[in-house]
Amino acid sequence: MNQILIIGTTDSIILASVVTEVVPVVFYLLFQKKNKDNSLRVIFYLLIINFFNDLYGVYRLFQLKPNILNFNFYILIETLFIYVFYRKILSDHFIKHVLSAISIIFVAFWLFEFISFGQSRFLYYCVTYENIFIILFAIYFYYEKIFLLNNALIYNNIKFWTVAAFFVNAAGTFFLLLYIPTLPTRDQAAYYILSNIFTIIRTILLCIAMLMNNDNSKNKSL
Amino acid sequence: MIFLQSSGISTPLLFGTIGMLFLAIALITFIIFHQRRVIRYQLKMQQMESEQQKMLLTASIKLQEEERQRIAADLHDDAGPLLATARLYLTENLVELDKETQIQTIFSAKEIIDEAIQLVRNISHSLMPPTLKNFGLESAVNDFFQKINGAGQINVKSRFHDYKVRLKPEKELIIFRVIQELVNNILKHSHASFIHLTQHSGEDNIIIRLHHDGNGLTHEDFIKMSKINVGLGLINIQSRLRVIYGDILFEQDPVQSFFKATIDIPRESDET
Repeated sequence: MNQILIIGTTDSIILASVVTEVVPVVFYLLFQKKNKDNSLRVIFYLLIINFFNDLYGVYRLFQLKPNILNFNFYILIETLFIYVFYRKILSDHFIKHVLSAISIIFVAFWLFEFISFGQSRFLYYCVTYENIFIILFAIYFYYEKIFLLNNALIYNNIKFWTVAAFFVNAAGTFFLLLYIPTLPTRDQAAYYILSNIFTIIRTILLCIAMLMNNDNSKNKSL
Repeated sequence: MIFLQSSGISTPLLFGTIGMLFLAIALITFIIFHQRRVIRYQLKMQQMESEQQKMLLTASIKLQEEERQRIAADLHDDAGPLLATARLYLTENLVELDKETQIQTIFSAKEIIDEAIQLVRNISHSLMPPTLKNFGLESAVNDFFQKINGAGQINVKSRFHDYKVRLKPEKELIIFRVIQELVNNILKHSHASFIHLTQHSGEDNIIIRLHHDGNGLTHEDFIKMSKINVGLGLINIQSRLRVIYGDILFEQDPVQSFFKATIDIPRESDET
């Protein structure tokens, strides 16, 4: 009975994590469509790809024919989109070069892992690499923001919440994706629920980002 | 937590994940609070700056009003009665008087009018000393010091080491007024036996230093007195110097026998 309840809850969480991914897309169209900031548009396109990819993934999962290939491709697409996003929001030129170098190494690493195991299993090491990439540059982004002395509150900034969304998601799933490959294949599925929980958290943070006012120059009351 | 444990998720993974999540959230929270603190500090600084500006502006307006009142009093109390007396002498009855009395009356009226002219000249000189206008800061300071020395109470000297190119007249007037204010303060409060003024030129600035052997101010005293709005003269000095982007530093020399006030005035490109 307990087991049935868990399976039911797991399915609900998986479904909720996928279905809610469309909310920040809708919020973008409602509140940020006139926002001329290109960096946000990159995230918008990524979220659309992510939504359809996860929807297809869940469909295949419920058909009991899980398709690893599209998830593995998505790792590459997501990393490249996040690379473009970071390039647009970071201001230091040297760091942008570092960002490009790390991304090129990532593509090479992804190609290697994909050719070796792309058809048979999820590319955990690539995702771990991606998570480290996201975490490092998120920390750097915040570091840059600390030294930016203007009167605009950081939490009124769309980019702040967008980076926070990916940062929290990457930090939350970091251990999970390091741990999963050490488990037998039949036990791995039980752990994906954590990933789905963090996807929901990411979606919430992205929704907050999309609800932010475009005009960030006004200093709200402290 | 119970749900996750009952679904068979290992404790190290759970703690690792929670730990990472906690670190991420802590970092974000830290940044938010740090930035809020920085902004609060900035706003406080801006507020203090604007209060200081307001204080300087008030002092400047007050100074202007005092100057106007002084001129008004001079005109009303001195020039007014003089001219009224002259008018009394020059009435219509004058033509009916004998010639000798007429000459005597006209002479008296002329003397009174001369006195009135001198008074108006003095008022005008106090507004813009002619020596300053015609011969520059060095001569005006020497003139001013000569008058003080004439009283014989205190020894006042000035030495301009390098003042070949004059500053703009309005700038010279401001510096002169500041020197006047400082010297007046020393005369009033310090009980000094001498005041020495020296001038030096830097690459793109002029340094004027006044030192004396009486009771003086350190810079801390100056800031304190300016902040608590005590000493209108000091605030005036500050507001005058601000107009020409100048700076003033009050110090006591290391052996603690003299007090110094150093004025630093930047030169403009056409003043070098």
